Amino acid sequence: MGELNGVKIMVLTRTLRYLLYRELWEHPLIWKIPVGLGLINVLLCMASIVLGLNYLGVADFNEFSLKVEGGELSFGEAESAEAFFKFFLFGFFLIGQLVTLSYVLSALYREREDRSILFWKSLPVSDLMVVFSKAVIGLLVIPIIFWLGSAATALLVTGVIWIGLSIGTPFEFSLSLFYLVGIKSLISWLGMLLGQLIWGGPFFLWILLVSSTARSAPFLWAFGIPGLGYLIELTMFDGTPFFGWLWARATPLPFASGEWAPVSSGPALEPIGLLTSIFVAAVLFIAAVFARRHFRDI
Amino acid sequence: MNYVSVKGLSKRFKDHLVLDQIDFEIPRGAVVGLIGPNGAGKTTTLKALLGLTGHEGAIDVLGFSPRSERHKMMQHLGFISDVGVLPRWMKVSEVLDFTAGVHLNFDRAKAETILSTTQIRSNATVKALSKGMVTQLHLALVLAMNAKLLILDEPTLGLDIVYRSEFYQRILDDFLREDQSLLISTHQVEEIEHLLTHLLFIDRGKICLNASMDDVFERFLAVDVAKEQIDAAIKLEPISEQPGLGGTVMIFDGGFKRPLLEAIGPVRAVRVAELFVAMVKRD
Repeated sequence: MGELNGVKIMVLTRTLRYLLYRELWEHPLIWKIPVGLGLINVLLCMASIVLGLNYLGVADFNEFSLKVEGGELSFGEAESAEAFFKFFLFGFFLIGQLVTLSYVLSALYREREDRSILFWKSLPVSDLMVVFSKAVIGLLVIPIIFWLGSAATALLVTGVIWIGLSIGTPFEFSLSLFYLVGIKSLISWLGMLLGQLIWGGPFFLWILLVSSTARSAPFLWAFGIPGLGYLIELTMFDGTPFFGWLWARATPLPFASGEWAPVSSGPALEPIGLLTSIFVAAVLFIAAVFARRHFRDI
Repeated sequence: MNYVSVKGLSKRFKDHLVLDQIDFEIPRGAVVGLIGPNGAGKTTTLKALLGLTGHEGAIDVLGFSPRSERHKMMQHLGFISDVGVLPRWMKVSEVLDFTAGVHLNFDRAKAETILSTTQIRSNATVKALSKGMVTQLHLALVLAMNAKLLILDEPTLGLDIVYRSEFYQRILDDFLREDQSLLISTHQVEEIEHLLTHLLFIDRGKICLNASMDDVFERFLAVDVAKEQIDAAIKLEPISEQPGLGGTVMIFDGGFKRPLLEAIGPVRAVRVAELFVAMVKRD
């Protein structure tokens, strides 16, 4: 019995792995966008260093002079490092959220509209596994790929700046201190991503459900229904108990919590909010699976 | 033992009844031709068997309910629709990787052996392949799945005669064994006639003929009737008269008429296409 369960788990894991590969093969922009953003940032940084050094007249690295009025410039301080890394983390995170939104909105809708749905449905893969793989890509893989992109970019740009300053200026900053603080920021950002997964889960799974059911114009349904529901709630009730709650989750966690910093607590992880989020997310996920299996004859 | 059992299958699209109380079975080892005019309900029947559409009535395919156990059923069932359902963005190698990753019975070496006899390269994308090549690729995948039941829906639509001939030859060589069944829906009846063991004619959502080929040949007779024998032949109540070379081809229902028919003209086995036209016209 135990062995049988082990084989089942192995088969399910393998199936999930190939379903994730499929998504990454089909949607290469998921990794191309962060790679492209990273390269652009590194190249811009290198160009800035070269242009900056040229402007200072030290491109030949012989005569260097820089006067600073009113004090000394200092690099390598922890606050600078944290702010520097946060810039990349926030930038990549927000673009990643837009990519997630676009992905989940089209994931099941486009699959159904394409004739290749007959091929996908002719394979021994359950609707549960397919929808799960798409949810995993949208809610987990894309944010992690963008996080990795932001981490690699921040580390590379720091290295480029350090090389430029070391070669062309008398300024010094401790690369190891910068990296230490930066890596700490990167790791603590993972806590925020976990919070965002729970916080934004119901919203993105609602979009996935719409993608699974809409006959046309999924964007209008995805935002039109909550918009209309919100207005009705406002008119008929004192507050906006459901659609207001859902709309709040459309706002990325760092903005929703009011903290422009990595947060691993707050509204997402408060016990009742956490349980409600998980419950609503589970209901929406099951509805999306049911819809892929039973809605819209192929 | 039946691989497929269908009882009271009905399907309605709004006010239009597409399938009306269909019953049929597909025995183990059978090659069944599902033949019908456009709009007769062939594709809807196949989709119901594959669990791709809701329906009324009971369907059992390989011991599974297609609608609720599709993914389990597909472990033992191969399906090829008309050309062009493979994802166009995929590379051939990715198609093989993915199928091998999710299909327990998939024999990748077998698929690669079949593909090595074609001009399909593993780094090509599906969109770069011709229609014929896409069908070859899909067939290689399906044959390597070692399925018990293969369902083909107009698989050679739009292909030239060379590809069509190779397609069916490959099925004969690599698929048909005693424990494997084939259900094929096509308009190009002549090309599959020699493969069939059973016939299913469907017209306007109803099965109008469900018989083994042995029964068909025993029950239906074709006679090439010369002009001077036409009146005598008509008295024997043919179900169809079709113009032929130098006379009329008449189809008769009832093997017992053979001695009488032999007096009228040369009696021969009925062709599936002739019988199909006769049955559909009669209905």
